[in-house]
Amino acid sequence: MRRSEVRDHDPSAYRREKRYTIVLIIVAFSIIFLRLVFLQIIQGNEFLEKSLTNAVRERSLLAVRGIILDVHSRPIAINRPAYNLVYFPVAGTDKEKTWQIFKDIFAPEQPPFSLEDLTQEGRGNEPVRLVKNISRLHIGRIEAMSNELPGVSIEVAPTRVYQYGEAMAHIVGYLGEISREEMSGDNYYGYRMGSIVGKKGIEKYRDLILKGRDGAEQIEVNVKGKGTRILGTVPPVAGHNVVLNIDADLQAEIYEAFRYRRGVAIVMDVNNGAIIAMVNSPSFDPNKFITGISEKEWKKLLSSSGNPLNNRAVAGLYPPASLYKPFIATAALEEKIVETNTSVYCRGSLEIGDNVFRCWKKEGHGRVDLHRAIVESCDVYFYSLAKSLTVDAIAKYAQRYGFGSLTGVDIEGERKGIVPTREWKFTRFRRSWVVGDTVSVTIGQGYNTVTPLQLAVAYAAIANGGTLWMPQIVKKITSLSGDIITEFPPKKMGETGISNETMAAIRMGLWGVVNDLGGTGALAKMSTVEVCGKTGTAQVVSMPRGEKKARYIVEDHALFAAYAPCQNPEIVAVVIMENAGHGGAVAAPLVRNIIESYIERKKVQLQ
Amino acid sequence: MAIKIDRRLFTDLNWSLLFVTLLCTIIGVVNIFSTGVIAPGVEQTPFYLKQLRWAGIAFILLIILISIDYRTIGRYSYLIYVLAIILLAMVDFVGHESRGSQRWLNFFGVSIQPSEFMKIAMVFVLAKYVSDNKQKGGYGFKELIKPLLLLMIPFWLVLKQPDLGTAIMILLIFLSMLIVVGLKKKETIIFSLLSVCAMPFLWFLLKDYQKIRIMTFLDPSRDPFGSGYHITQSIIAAGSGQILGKGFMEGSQTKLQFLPEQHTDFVFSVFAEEWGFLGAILLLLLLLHIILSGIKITYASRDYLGSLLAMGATAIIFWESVINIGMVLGLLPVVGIPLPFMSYGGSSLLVVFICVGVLLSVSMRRFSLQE
Repeated sequence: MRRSEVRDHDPSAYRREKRYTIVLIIVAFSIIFLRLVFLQIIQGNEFLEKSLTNAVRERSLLAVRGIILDVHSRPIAINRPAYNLVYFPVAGTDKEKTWQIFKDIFAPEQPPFSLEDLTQEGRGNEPVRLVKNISRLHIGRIEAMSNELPGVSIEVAPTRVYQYGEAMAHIVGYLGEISREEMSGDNYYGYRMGSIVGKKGIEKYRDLILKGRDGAEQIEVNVKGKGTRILGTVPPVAGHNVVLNIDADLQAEIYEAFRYRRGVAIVMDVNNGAIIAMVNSPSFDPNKFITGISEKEWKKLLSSSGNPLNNRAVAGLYPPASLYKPFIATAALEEKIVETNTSVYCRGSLEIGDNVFRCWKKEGHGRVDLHRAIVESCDVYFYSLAKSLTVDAIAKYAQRYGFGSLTGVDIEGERKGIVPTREWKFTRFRRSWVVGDTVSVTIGQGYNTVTPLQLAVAYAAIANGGTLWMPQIVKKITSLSGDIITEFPPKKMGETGISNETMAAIRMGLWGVVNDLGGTGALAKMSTVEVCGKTGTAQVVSMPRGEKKARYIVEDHALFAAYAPCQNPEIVAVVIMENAGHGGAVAAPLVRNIIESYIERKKVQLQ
Repeated sequence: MAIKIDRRLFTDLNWSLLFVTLLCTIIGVVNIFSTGVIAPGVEQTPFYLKQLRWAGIAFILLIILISIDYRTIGRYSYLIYVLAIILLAMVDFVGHESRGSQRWLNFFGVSIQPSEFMKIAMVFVLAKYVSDNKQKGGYGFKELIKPLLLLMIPFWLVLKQPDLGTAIMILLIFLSMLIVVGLKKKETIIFSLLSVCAMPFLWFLLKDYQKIRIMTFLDPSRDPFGSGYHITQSIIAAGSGQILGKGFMEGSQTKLQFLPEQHTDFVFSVFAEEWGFLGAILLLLLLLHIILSGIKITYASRDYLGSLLAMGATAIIFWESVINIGMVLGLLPVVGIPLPFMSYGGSSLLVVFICVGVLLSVSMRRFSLQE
């Protein structure tokens, strides 16, 4: 193939290549030509027949969605049949006439769709869903008029029912029609426009497992769009069931206790991370999303001050307040800054630098050692630690308890919170750390934020001797017939690596909070079982600056974290009640009720 | 540089090529009108009107291309190539997705598909590089390294989107241009063998849905509902047109929405259904005329650059036509390649008009040898 030396001025030297290229082109076009002869001339009649008399429609057969059960197999999310009015556009029909018939059917009301819905085109092979969840009365009327309504049919489609409604909303989530964005993303390949997918919670997180696989059916339809013969079927495959660790009745009971209150409660197994209850308040009713929530209701949910759509348990960032003190104490003991018998005199306030930091108890606690400092939640004792304990050392121990990182819980939307360090403050604010900052951190205020779930994991680690378990909502996945498909064994996220002596001192302190005379959590004390816990009261600073008079009084958040029994602990319970007052007064009694109820239920289960 | 329109260039214009191009485009617009598909969204413009608007813009572009010497294109070819690569890479960051793949970029409300423009940029850059690096006795392996690099960058970016159709197109354009580049004998054999061996590896780069499509093509009964259904409906549409067709706007497959993508990838079925065998053959002959004119221009060019540009432009029109029609008639797997002049789509129409513009430009300057 000599060419370039003569190329430019002698194209005739390339006759051979030119001929080959032309032959290739002619061959390709000839194949197409022959194919057209075959399709249009030889088989043309058959295809014409197919296209005119026997139109083949494709209809998807919806897979039955798996149900969601609680730990005792109580159904949480189930399916119930519902009927949809669907419409296939059929050529040559009088849409105006069809519209008139629909008007009669729905009289005295207007049909819940418009004439335009009948005339819309370009949706390919998917029918238009005119009415979802149509009433039986209207079904009867439509069936009676079916000969006058070409292309109209009633489709049986299951709808979801959430048995526990608001109490479970943030855990199970809800379903909705797939959005355009989801449709084009990689995660939803194989879904069609109009497919129903999980939008939140377990419904979303486990969508692939729950949804099963839709089948399809090819139907011959006559000119009026009515099915005449089924040509082939790919049967749908039902989705799997999801079994949760949640005890739904306990969950519902706790939710009741939160009525008209904002807050979170988490109950978790300290020995494996199984989440037994996770309550958020305010909540929303997931059943309302099934038939499509109205614009007005959606906006109300979004703009509501309580933010009912927010899953506070995993995404709510709170100051840990005094619930942080056991971890500060851990840091101080491990770093050998204090010993258990080191004592501090509390006069009700402490001066550090130019600032005076006040204890919550104005008259002071007098002489306190570590145990009493935890039991009576003495702020001054912890302030005094800030003189020798650096914020970076605090951060080291906080991080060992899982603060500042995701717990790995199997639900979406989890947040990390903040464990402040010198470096963090500098990158964030371009200001260097001052000792006053550390003082705020020692009582869990200041830059610290944690999620309620992080608190549950950390207190569980105190209870079980130092293991951080990954919180798990889902226990197992089972088939339609109940066989186990996948089980989720407990997963260790890490060990705190704190010495036994330190752990013992902290646990002793937590025992004292509830059981000592003068302990701040005395209201959590019960006769049946020993409870260990810690109270917290988070100061909410949101009073507008410079205003002469506060427009509203902001009350503190009440926090309480506890585990029980103190010997061989089983569960941890964390409660945060927003703007409710003192932790010991408001949150501790609720925790007691939760633990009591848990023990009662366990007894019943054992019988 | 002043644009001078030489009288002689005017008389040397390949009028039949221009005429057939415009004829095909008009047939295309009429055909899209017949599908009656309307753009979704607020504006509700029928697609045929949007296509007509695009055709106008494309025609102006064509006139500009004829007026300038194709050697000017050569001069800017690297710039064009780099721009096309940047646009392509941008798709990954700011592009919007449609049906599982990311192909579009939005510019002032106009969606463009950079992978379309990559095809023509590939032609430009390869023509420029090879014409600047002539090799006695054709290219060997060593000489091929740089052109292959020029090929691999866009090939990889397009495949990643994922847009299998355009990736294959870019590869075919490259291979077609090698005919003009010329390979040494040993290289020709090894290169063909390598291409065949590379096929199975390509398989691993494909997304699941692309694999499913290819497997469905090999065995339509695998998936009678997904892409198998589309091919079946497309064949029924084309076949039912018979010799004379069902007539303009009378295609029942089209009107009853059995046919998928009827204004884009499956336009040929619509045309074949309504205009029958005779219409389809006429359209094939028109396309064949354009392609053979392209080959003629390739081998009549006064210089190497012109030959290479013309070959590349012809390759785009040829492969797109053959693959698209082969696909809708069930001869090839569904890979999403538009039919030149006929499929709805501004980017695609602009690109084929640029191809014709290049051909006309090379053709009318075939006698003038002055530099």
